[in-house]
Amino acid sequence: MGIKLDTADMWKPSPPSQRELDCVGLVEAADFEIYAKKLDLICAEARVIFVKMGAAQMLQSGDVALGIYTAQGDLAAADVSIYLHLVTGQIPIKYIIDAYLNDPTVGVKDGDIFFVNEATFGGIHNPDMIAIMPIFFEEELVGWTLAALHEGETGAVDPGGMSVAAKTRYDEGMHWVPFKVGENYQLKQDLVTMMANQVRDPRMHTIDLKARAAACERMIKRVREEVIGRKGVDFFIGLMRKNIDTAMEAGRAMVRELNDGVYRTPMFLDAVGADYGLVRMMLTVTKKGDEITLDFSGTSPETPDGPFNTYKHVVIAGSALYIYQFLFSDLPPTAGAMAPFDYTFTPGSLLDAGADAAVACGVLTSGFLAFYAIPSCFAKMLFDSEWRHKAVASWGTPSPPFMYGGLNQYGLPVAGLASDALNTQGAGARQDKDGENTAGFSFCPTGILQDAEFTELQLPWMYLFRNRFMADNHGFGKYRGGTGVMIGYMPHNVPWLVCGSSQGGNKFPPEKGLFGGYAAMTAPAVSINGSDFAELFAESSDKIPFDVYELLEERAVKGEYVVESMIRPFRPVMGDDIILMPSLGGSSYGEVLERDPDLVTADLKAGITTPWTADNVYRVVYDPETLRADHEATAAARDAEREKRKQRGRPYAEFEKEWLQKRPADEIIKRYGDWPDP
Amino acid sequence: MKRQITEYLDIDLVSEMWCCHTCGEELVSAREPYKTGCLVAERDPREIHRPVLDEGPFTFAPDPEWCRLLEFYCPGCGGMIETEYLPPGHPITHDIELDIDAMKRKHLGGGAGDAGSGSSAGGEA
Repeated sequence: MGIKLDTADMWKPSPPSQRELDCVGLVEAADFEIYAKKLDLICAEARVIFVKMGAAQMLQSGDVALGIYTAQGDLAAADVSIYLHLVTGQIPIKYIIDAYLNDPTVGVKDGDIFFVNEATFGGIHNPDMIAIMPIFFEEELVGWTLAALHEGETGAVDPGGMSVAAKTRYDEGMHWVPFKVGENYQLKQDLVTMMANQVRDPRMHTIDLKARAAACERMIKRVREEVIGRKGVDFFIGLMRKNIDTAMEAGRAMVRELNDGVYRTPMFLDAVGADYGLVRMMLTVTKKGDEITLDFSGTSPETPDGPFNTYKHVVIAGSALYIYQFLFSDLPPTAGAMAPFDYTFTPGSLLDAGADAAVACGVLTSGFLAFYAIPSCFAKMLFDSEWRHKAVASWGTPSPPFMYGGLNQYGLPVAGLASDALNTQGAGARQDKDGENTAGFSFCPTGILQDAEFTELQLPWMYLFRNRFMADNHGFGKYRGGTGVMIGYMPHNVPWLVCGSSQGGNKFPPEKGLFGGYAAMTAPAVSINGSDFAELFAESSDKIPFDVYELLEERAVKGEYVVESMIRPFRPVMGDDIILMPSLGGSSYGEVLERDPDLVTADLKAGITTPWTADNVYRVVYDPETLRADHEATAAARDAEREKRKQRGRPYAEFEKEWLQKRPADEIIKRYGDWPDP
Repeated sequence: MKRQITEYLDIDLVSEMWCCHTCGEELVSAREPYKTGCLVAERDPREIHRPVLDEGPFTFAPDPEWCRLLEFYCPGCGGMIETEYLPPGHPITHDIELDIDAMKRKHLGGGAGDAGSGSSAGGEA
């Protein structure tokens, strides 16, 4: 099954309908400013409704997507939320219009509630679940609303929604194509029960389904009251089209001003699921006039037995994370913003997988690397323009989601994904300042880190710590990436949980610095089995640790220490076991020897930089007692380092001749495809 | 006339040369990859990313069997112009390939403006 996902009208704005052309001229400039903002606020209000009603931790953290679409299914207004979902959301809406609108067995009526989580029908991966409702006015279909959320359970072979063990789509649990789960503004109980029966946490699943529908319904209500009720339905239709056209025209005008050329970035990932293996995502960006093509040819082949694959419409929508958040951050986040962009993929590659492929973990692994190649290419396109300030380094990679299943402290079944590591990623450095520490989830800048005590009240674990910076886990540079934290979990008030995680970046840095900066850390996962932490805690011992280095270097807690990959297959975690998961720091900007020595010593004081890095990377000379930098001695040390570089460096041609003779071991590149160009 | 293309790179549109933005050193023709005009060093990534653990498959530092760090220096001042993390032997990336003729038309004149040429604002070195 599946639908055509490779046609440009799935992400580019549809040509205006005659109805839209008749209405767009009705929207005068002043009204456009007022009512375009009103559409944004309608989405923002729905977000509050959505978050307040929901149960999943990612929902309570605000990692959601809410949008309003035209009658043709083009994104016309959005909350500042996960734009990824809002762009792909156009696909199931357009499918519903195409397949169901005139089908008498389905049809589309006022009050209908559609549900979809199937990636091959425009979803991302099946934990991302979407509700869609039409907006009718006096029998006319005038638009759509959408609410999306990553649900931490799909009924897959593992709990948590993103099974690292999945080898095909048939291991990943529920795959619902767009279907009508409710009518007349009410969910149909038989269907709700059937869906709940598919998953390990039916309570969460049902609550969140209702929350999605409520968010969609609120947007419909406000559109009718605040826009159509005040200005008429023709104005509403024209307003949405104008919001699309404005982004399209302004976006093209900006693109036209950037340097024509070709910009390239390869990205590498060190795993394909439960198995290791180096793979490449290649991006070539060609900019000419007001058109930009993103070509992902040269990407490694699809993995037939792992879940790190993804679909091309996911990568296209993923590019919107950069396009909407950075490149066109001052334009309406509508379908019009995608008009300048075209995409090329190699069928059968990691980024253009077949319909039977497992893709549950792909969006946060291979897909993510593709998304994050984009800022690197565009920074080099933007620097020689009035938009130089938009040349920024990428955020930290999505940190490994900690997934769990079992019974909670109240005896109820739970399964889900802990969003702590996602919502504490470090931001990328900018040309005039460091990235924000623990900035949030790069997919959703408005998401927040859920309150620790509130989470502990709901879920069966206790946090050992999650409020200390993890030193050196960001990229080093003139401006460093924002740093992340290490999060310690321990089952609490339950005898055990089943836990797992999935993420690459254990052997090869998943990020890269910008303009001479260094990449961020390759942080593994750490476990301590059979710990004595509970005893220390009961004694209020002063040996209770506060970060991972203290644990590893001082062994402050007794137990079996295991340092392992962030790809951690699901297994029982007993009540005295400790699981540590890192949130990863952002990428850096500029070269390390230009970093202000006082910023380095400030980071030493804050526990963000280690003395080793200050000495060996930043080459800062400082008083170890006062942590005051000696600027003169630092300048001399840096001059000496620059001279060493000139001795160390070799002419390019001479270097390249020898370099190209090297090759990783066959075992490392067994998943890579043809070396060096898959 | 120079245009600043990255934090550490200019292009002189008259001489058509990549130049170090820091010291002005001419690197190579602007129609060639700028990296070919740099000094290059291959480094074990553990020289920059401190291993927290001495042994084991995961040390908190990139694995040098999988990943090497390339540094591109200005031969004039020793400034770091760019870095790349690559598997051993992977071709070095030609990351910036500008349409020099379009840039010259835009900034030096001598013909009808190209639709895709750069703005005069923002990037003059």
